[in-house]
Amino acid sequence: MKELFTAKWSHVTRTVPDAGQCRLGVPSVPRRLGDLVVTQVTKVGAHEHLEDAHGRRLKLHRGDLLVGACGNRYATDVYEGYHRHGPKAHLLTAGGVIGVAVSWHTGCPPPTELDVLGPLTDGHGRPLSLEHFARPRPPSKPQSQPPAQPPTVAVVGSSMNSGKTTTAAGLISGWTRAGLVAGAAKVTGSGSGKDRWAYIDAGARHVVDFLDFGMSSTFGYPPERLLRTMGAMRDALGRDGAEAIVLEIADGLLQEESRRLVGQLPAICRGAVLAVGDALAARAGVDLLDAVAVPVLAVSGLITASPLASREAEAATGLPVLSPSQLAGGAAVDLLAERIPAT
Amino acid sequence: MMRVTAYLTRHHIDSDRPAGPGQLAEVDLDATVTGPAELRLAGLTVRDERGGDLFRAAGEHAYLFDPAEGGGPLAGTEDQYQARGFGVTNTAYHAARVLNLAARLLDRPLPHLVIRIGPHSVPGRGWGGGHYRLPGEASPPEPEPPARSGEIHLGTGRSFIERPDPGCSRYFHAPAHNPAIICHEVGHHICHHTADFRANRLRPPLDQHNGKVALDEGTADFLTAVLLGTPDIYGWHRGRIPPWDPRRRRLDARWTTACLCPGGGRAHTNGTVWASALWTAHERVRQAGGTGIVSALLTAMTRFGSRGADVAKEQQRRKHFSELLRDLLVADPAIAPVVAGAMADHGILPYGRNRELRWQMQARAGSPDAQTPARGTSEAGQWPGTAAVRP
Repeated sequence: MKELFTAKWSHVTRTVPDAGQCRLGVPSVPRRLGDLVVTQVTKVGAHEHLEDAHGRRLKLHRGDLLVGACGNRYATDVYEGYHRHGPKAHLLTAGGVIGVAVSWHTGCPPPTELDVLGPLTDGHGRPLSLEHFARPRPPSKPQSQPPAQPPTVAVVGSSMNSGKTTTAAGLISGWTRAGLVAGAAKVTGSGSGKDRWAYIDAGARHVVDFLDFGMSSTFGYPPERLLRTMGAMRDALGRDGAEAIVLEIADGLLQEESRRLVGQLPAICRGAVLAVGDALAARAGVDLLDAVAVPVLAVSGLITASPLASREAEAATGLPVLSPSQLAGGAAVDLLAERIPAT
Repeated sequence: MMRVTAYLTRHHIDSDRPAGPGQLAEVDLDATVTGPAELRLAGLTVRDERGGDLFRAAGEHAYLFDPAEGGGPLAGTEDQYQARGFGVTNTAYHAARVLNLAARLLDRPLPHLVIRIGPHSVPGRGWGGGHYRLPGEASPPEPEPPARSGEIHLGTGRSFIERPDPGCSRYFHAPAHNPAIICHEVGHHICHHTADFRANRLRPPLDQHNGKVALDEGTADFLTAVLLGTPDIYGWHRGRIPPWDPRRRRLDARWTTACLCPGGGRAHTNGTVWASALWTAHERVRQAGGTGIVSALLTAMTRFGSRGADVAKEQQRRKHFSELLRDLLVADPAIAPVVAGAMADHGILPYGRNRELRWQMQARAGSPDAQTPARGTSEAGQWPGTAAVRP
């Protein structure tokens, strides 16, 4: 057993309550998604820094001990990576997702390489997983009427880097400025604090992400679990006191898990704001959302940097194209209003 | 005559953080329904322009709408309908109160006033305020020229007000629910038809100046305080702003000319100096057994706005506090000494441009005769941003 005084604890370990009691255990059973592991940096690659639980960027050096969690990554602009049970691994995210990168974007350097030393265990030698620290599900009471949920808006995008998080932050900021208690959930993605901090910086009083529900990254988890988690996130934010909620779904609409989740949005929220980079993506995205009966409330995202492209998208979709600053300036509140069906 | 719901305000405010816009009550209103969302009274039309038939299900002589916590985007359809209907009746009630007071004191009715709720209601651009408009250039531009005799536009709201008492739900701040905003904007109508601070009667009817000077804003705030019965006119929706902050626009803090900000765009802040001086004078006259200064003020404003023929000269003249003070002192000689003393305490003297009054007051504040109040004093004797001067 080794104590981990000098280890660098990554963002994905933020739910572990007593890091000081944890130990490096002996490898025994095959590792699973979400299992916490202790690794050692053998070669610093693309990720030269690790993000810790508080958001600080820790400089990585060869030989550093690094505590992370097993997971996959689906990032079209960075890595495609998978959890593998073996002695060698890569750092798939700055937040501490550990897996093996099998392909990456041509503009992306090779990943940081790691040796997997063994599982992270508690003081009694039991291997730890993020599942152990997931938010408990509240006991379900039989109710004649489901409790009223705060108004909820989803943010979906045409692809990675289409401006989803900035759009979500615009919504949060607008609601907060209007005097509402905003809640935000990152429904899918790969463990990193970036979006969480963006929500908090925009004024969100309550924030949850998949880490709070036992997953280091969501790629590769069964769709049923992700669907359950999306509802649980909304319910948890409502219980915490949020009065308006944004759910951000990672990646693009064509990503398999995102597509499955989007299909369930009509049961979860009032509608979606679509973040895109161009008018063609806006048109295609609206068509995809229409096909699964998701009301599109507005178009936003990177496209709003260009007034001309925004007008193009407005003409192509018939929807308002709202920049994050417009959302923050009042439009976010209007999006919460109930749509009265045209008669 | 119809029975409507409205917020009564006088004396309901007795704390630093009023719990609401007023006390909900049924009142009689001499009005008729003249449209799906329109009421007409003598000298006044109030109209909600967001569509729909607000008066569809009302009784023959009773329109007892529920404020529904202001309605707003989180409200259901029925609550929003109730809140909008209440906005019309509440606006009509308060606007009529102000106009009736002015008509009684001026001994003449003012020209017809139109109040439109929601004309600038663009999705995504909620507006939580109001403005008074005449035909002419305006910012933001008006899509259609306002009525020549003057128009008030009220926003539909953009934010919620957290109630100070735990357990109370939030209130969506719809300007039509806020008596302070309604009274303030009607105050501009009174100013336009009396003091005419921008000398608009000397300009072409369709090229009116929509800018407001400090005297205009301050007078509108003072009239609001009189009608509401409190110097903390915006205490409900600006309760989170500390009383000493100029944005709170409390009239019982003794703002002086030392606090005047030079340059444009400060009409509200600078107006608070004039408004708080009027409030002090009003209270002192009442303490001396009088009825206050409103009647004298309206007489003075009428006289003030009836002189001169050169637009540019008059616009310059009508900016200065001392100009209107001189007319105020002449309007009622019986109260002139009390009024002059109160005004002097705020640095407002019968002679001198605003800039000179500021310099004089700043010099007084820095003189050995000045004394600084202890930190944390919050009584009416506090001099925000400057030192108090011994009487």
